[in-house]
Amino acid sequence: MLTKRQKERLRLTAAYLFTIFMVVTAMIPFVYVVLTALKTPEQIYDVGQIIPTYVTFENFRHVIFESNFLRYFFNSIFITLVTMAVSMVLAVMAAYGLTRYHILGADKIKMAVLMTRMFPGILLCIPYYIIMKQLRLIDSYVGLVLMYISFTLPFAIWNTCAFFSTIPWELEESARIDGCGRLTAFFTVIIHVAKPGLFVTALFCFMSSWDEYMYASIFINTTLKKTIQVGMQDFIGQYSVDWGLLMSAVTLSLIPILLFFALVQKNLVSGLSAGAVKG
Amino acid sequence: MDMPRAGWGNGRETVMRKAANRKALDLKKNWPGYLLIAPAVIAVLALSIYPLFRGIYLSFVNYNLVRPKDPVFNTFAGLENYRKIFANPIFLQSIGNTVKWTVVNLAAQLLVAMILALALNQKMKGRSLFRTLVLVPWAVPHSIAAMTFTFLYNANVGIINILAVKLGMLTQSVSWLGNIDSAFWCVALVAIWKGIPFQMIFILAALQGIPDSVYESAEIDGASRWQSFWRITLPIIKEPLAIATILNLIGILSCFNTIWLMTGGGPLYSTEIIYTFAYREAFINHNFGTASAASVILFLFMAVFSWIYLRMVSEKEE
Repeated sequence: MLTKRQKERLRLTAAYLFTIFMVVTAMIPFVYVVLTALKTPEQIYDVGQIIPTYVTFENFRHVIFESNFLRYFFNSIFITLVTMAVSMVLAVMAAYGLTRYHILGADKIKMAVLMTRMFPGILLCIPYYIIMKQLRLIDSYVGLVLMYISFTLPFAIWNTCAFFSTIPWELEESARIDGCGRLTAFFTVIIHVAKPGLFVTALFCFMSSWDEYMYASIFINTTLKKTIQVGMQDFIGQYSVDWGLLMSAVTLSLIPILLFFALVQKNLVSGLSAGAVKG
Repeated sequence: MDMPRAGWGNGRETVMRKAANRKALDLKKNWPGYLLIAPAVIAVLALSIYPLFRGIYLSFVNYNLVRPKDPVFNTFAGLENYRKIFANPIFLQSIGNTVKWTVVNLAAQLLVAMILALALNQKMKGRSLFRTLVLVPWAVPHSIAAMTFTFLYNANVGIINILAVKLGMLTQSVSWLGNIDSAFWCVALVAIWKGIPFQMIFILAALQGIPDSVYESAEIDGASRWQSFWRITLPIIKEPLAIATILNLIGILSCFNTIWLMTGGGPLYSTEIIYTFAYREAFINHNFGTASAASVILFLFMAVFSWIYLRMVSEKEE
């Protein structure tokens, strides 16, 4: 029979082992991606070169200077930032209105907004195609941003409401007693207190539009207007794939995501679950 | 300056609610609120609600873009589109695949996410670093994950084949994604790999809300860890767990990118789910009518889960 202390240690060891196993599972595909990006085509097909004996930056050079990669990259950055900005402004306004004023059926509005998150993208995509054609918004970033807002905005509203409703009304009141106008009180108190939550919400808007593939592949036809997720398919030829190029493009495209990820990781757990669970 | 928030009551009485409603009608005081929510409400109506109804309407209309000159084009078709898809063996197969896809993904993700959350809830050194690193698959875009794993599964250059052959587990390379028996499981594995962190975050957040004292008193009462997991932990995290599971389920049902970019629904439709079927009908076969009908079927699947989700969220708020 094990003593309590031994049991405790056994449990902790098991926890370590499982966690490390999961970390390795999570990371190893990308380690191999980066390794492949650093290989010459001959090395990629060489079984003895799983870990390359010498590295080349030729793939990265080619992707950056001789392909449309950077163009796609900045197209995506642009679309994503616009989507994020519009969603956040609309969401903050709506959340302030919903939490700080008496709105008829406020909780019904919130529920309806939440429900739109559950609509399957393909069901919206088909009518979008007809609508965008009528509005002449096919192959246009305006159209694409509008469609992206359809899934980022409901999420942003719901999450922002969750953060705003945790801020006590008294906090704002006391600012106003101190002589602040309503607008000043909003910016100095609410935005200040809800900042971490708003930051996480904005990040999710960014990530979900950066991730989007289906709408972009259907609605953007001009090569130079493609987003990064669609543009990456350029490296996949019809009959053969240049794996070295593709894998260096994959590596480069992950940089902004990892950057944002590092920035936000402290608030990630609370930020993601707040909106879904608390409401 | 008394201005309680309308309709947000935590256990507020109906009388109060009615009073709040009357107050809400006081436009003189609340007009800025209506003005503030107007742009967002209009955006949601125009970008989600209207297209939804238009999509449902399309499922009852002849809308085959291959034959735009057809006299019946854009006329009411009744249930014809639904009859067509249910007569299509590929659609029937895709329903079966969707169920299989959902059950396999959900079961695997729930199990691993639960164990991982319990592990990460221990007092480990470097816990926050581990926690960040295991979230990586979730942060990686779907199409990138699909491309990465297509590479890893590749018959010529994929590490899986290279290692398996080297270690003598396989006599020759296998085309994992081109094989009817393996394609489904290989794609599912990617979706599971990518889906675990999302589910895990919610479970972990719920676990971290349980104070240590609860376990300590259970231990004093002589409960084993195993018992306290079933009798204490699970009942406490039941609700957030259910909510996370439903959100996850909706994600699993609409997992288009991973499947489409890895196998395109093939080989021989063995990885075709309703979502990819609807996409194929709309943007490859150009029949918007039948595609909408298939999407509506998918929507019905999701609506059931969404309804349960909404019930849970709003119950919590009451």
